[in-house]
Amino acid sequence: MILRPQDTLNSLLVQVAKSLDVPEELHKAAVLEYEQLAFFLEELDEAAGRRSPEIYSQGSFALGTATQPVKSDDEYDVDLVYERMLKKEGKTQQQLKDEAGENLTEYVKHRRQTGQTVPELSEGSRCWCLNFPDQFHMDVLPAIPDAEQREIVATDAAKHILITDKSVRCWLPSNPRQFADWFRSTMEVRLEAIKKSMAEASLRRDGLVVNDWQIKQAAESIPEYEIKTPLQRAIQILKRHRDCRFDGDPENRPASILITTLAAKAYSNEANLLDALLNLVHRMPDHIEEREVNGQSVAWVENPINPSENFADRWQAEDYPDREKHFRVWLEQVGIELEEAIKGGGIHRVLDLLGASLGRQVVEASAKSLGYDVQRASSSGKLAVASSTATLITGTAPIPNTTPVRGHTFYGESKRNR
Amino acid sequence: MANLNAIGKLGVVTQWGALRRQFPDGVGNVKRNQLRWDMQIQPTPLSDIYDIRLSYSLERFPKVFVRSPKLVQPADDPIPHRYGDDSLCLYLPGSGEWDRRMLLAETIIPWASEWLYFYELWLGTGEWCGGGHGSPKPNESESEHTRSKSCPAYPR
Repeated sequence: MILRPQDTLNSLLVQVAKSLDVPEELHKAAVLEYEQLAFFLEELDEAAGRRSPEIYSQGSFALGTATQPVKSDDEYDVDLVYERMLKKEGKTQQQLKDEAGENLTEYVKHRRQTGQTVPELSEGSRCWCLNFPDQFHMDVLPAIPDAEQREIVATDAAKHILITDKSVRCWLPSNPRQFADWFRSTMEVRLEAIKKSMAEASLRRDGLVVNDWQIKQAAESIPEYEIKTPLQRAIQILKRHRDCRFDGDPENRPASILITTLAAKAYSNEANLLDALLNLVHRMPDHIEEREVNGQSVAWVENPINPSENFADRWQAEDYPDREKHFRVWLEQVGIELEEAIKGGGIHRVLDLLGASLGRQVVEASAKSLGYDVQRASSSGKLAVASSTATLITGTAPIPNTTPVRGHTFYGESKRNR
Repeated sequence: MANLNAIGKLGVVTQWGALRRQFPDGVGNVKRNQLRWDMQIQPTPLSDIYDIRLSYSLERFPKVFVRSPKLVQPADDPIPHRYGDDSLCLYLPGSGEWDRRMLLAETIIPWASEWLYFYELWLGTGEWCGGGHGSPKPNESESEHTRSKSCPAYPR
């Protein structure tokens, strides 16, 4: 039995990433709101004799990488696409945007009339925002199918859309559903492995005789939104680290889509979060290319489903020439901090390190939660110590060369003044 | 009770033998029926490595002291679950959690490792997550000589 500092740090980081998840209640509320909104908008078009629109989530909510805001009064963003089944020849960009606004105004009115909480509707540059106070913002992006692109691809999998630009004059191509498919494909091996092991564990818990076919069947029925791969967890940690590091410097703050894309490109289906993070910080820069654009060399992070789109285009802004440098230095810093944390020297020391870069509160809460797990393991006979330096090991099965810990209670005062 | 102790309690040499078996890297000796056991404890692979000393005899209760590194006490904030002589409070006296029929190697040492884990966590978070009872008085020790009312009588 080899006990590695990496494993202990990994448990702590997994716990931190879990506490960065959208709280389950809020997630359920958001899904409910979005379904209710979708139903209303579908009915609206159907009543007018039009084909019903498609409403679906995009961004971190759809990718399973949503991360709690650093400041407790900041709210989660839930990004939705409001794809109306219209031809671009029949609508101007402004009409599409205005009609979406009118329909959402109707929705707000409907909620008021039916005695439900009334979200505040405001207009963004490309989308409309429904603000549910103390819960989340729902950004609704009006879109239409990109018929030309879909014809070129000519399969049912074609999910190209057109959205309006910020000045509502041009159509811009987008494809959030295909991006989500691509993102999933980069972690598919791990996703299937996790589903299989979850299925197997659950079958064994039920005391069933387990064979491969049963595991496969059971694995297929596990909903994927209930699973977080090390890639998704690593992106949550990176985004959180970014939020803390660039707090007060929003102009140089790397965009989530950039971090998500580079991380997914660099992920090799690592089974463990810390391994994934350590590899990502080293490999992500390998996916920043140099391209010649108008005779100039430009840093390029290719949109995996649209090679002509550069997710690093903001690095070219003349006002902020150091964005790329900030990004690279930040990523390197994450690696340095993790290596430093692996050196250990005391849990309190590791908490100081991680607390400074990921937020003290979330790191302390995660450590305490692991502490209470150890306490529970101790009182239920699931704790042992190793033979060399009496290092604690939790687990149900007896492990060779260890001594099980007997139940006991520490005696004495246990509160610390703070 | 007296009979039970007479037939049940383990001698210090037996205790020493069990410690050597379970923790071969530790060193100790038995002199005039006094057991002294020194070993290193690292509660988790991310933790500091602590030199501890366990002393025990049939006349005294087991005591564990942390010899190095020096335990850190944040300002005005006493380290929880310690006796007045700085030894660690590892179990509730008189509750039967520990008695002289039990091996130190299977009780006191693993509990000291747990204590050190919760100590580091307490240093980092301000919360003792290890559970526990009561509040020993500042000068209280669990030895028979200084036992107080809040430290219940203990079968010898």
